[in-house]
Amino acid sequence: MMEGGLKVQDLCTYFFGRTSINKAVDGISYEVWTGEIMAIVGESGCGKTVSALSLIQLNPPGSQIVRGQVLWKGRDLLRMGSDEICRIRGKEISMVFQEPLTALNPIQTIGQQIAEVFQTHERLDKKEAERKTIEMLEAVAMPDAEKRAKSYPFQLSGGMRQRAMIAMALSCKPDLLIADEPTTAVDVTIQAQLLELIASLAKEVKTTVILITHNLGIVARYASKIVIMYAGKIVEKGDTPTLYAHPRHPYTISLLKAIPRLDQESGKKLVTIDGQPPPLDHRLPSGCSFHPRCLYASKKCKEEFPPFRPISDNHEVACWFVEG
Amino acid sequence: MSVLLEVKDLKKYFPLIKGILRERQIGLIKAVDGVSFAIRKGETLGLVGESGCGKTTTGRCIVGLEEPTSGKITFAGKEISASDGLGLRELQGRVQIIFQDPFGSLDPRLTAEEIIAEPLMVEKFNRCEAREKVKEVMGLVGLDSEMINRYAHMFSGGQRQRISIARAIIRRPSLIVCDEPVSALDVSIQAQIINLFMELQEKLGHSYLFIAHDLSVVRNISTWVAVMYLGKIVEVVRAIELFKKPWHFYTRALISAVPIPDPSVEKERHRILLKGEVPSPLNPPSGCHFHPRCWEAKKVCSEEEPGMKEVEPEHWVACWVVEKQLG
Repeated sequence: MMEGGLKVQDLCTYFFGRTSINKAVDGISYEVWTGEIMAIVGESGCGKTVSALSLIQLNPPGSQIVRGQVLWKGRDLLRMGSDEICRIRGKEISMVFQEPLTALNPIQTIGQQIAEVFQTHERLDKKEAERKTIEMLEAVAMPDAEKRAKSYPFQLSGGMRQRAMIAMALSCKPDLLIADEPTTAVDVTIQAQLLELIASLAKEVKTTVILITHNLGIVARYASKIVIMYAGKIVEKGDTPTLYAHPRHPYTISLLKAIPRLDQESGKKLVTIDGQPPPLDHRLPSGCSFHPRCLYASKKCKEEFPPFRPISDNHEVACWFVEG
Repeated sequence: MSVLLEVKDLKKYFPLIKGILRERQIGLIKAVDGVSFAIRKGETLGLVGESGCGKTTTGRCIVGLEEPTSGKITFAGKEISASDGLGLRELQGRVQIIFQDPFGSLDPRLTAEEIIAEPLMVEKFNRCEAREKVKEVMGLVGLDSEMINRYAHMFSGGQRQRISIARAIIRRPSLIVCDEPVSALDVSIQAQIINLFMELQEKLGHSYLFIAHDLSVVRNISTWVAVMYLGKIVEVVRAIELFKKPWHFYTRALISAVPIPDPSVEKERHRILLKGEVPSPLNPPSGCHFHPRCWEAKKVCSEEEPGMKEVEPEHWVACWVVEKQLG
């Protein structure tokens, strides 16, 4: 079962400032099986994007992967040289970025950009690459694919840009797709189209998907497994149904109650989490980073970070308050 | 309850100009194309729709930031228009607006006190009294009045939005137009601000026009919900009924596209996937604007525009098919 899956162990990515260290990703571990959709959930600045970028050594400038292992098909992605990882990026593992306008090249047509993937990884000639590009754009339901292949990113709507990006990411039939907030910039009806597309792909071609999002609704609809991050650390992880039915970490519990639901009574006060997520710099609270906002915080929470403990099959939580 | 704001057949067209030396108009963007609604005292009307549907322009017309092409806006029994300077000034005290981006909408060179007190400057005001008032509203929105001398950049996103709210309520307006006030905030902060909006309404009794794209948020805060598509309102219904009985096919698709954060509920839900994208408001489809994406569209839908009909008590829909079904 492990074969083809991805195993991340104790991944740490730090930003080194002149006087301080910002532990953006601090010792996270998880596993994803083949063909599974796993969601990483957290508020802005919790390290979810940096953790995903680190998987394929794309961590932003100024940061360093300090420790950890990313096991992929029996090899450690973090120990690979730049040539080797380049052959994997875009072929075996590809990525969909959050803001397609900044992620796409503004001075090349989207057709050229997608064709480049075929030319690089599959050594196709130009004509063949162009033909496959249009096929790919049709596969992601791009309206008027042939015409759109000749368009520049700025000529397309947000939804079409994101379609182009997804087409590019899927063109080599990757085994692992990392989607970083793929639908934050588009409208809900387009969001539904794009996510259905990604989900059907995961099912058909057995692509493993890591979906980074802050939208707990999307997770409930598409992901089978979920990882909750807070201030660079994973605080809870488990199967989606279990975790939604029995959340254990105080942060997860309040997060689920803080979002208004369409099927609930309206006009009700929402449950809030006092305070704010910790700042992006080094001033993290001691012990469990959530303790200043936690209703159940005790002395121990301020002093020591709680270890990860399994509380049932496929459900683990890092909290002193939760009894095993 | 009495009607506070009435909007009748509001239209706002933007001309599309081409050419540098000899400018010529090559088209009209019909951002808002005949919108009518009313807001009662102490109630909230939620205006939802996808980007480009004209919801923001509608809000801007009401506060006088945009001059409507045609249409009638009546506020507390008086008709208002943007070209009438005196009327506008009077209006400014009673209608306020809160913008989406808490970073862009506050002047970085002003302190919290100066920002919040700004609406008072329209009238004669006393500095000491103003300071007392600022402190009072800061208390109301949950800001520490110690922070009165800080600049906007020293506040977090949630606190900045609280400053915008304090600025909006300092003259005790009867209507506040909120343009996507929580969409830039994180989930945990968003909940705090939504609760604050509801608490303030209970205390001060003003009305809101709450513009947002997030259906769950809008439904939670609103008394009524109006759904917009390409410059037109297609359905108006009480917020409690919206999820149970949506009639317009666009509303149905919109609701089905919003995921509910509960896997067991999600498994059972019927999903409607809309085809294609929202057409350009420059060249909207004929008849019902939604007909090219509608799966129930009949011949009449592409030919004639449906009008708003009260299909059941307190529920208005603009759709030929629904009208026929309900006889």
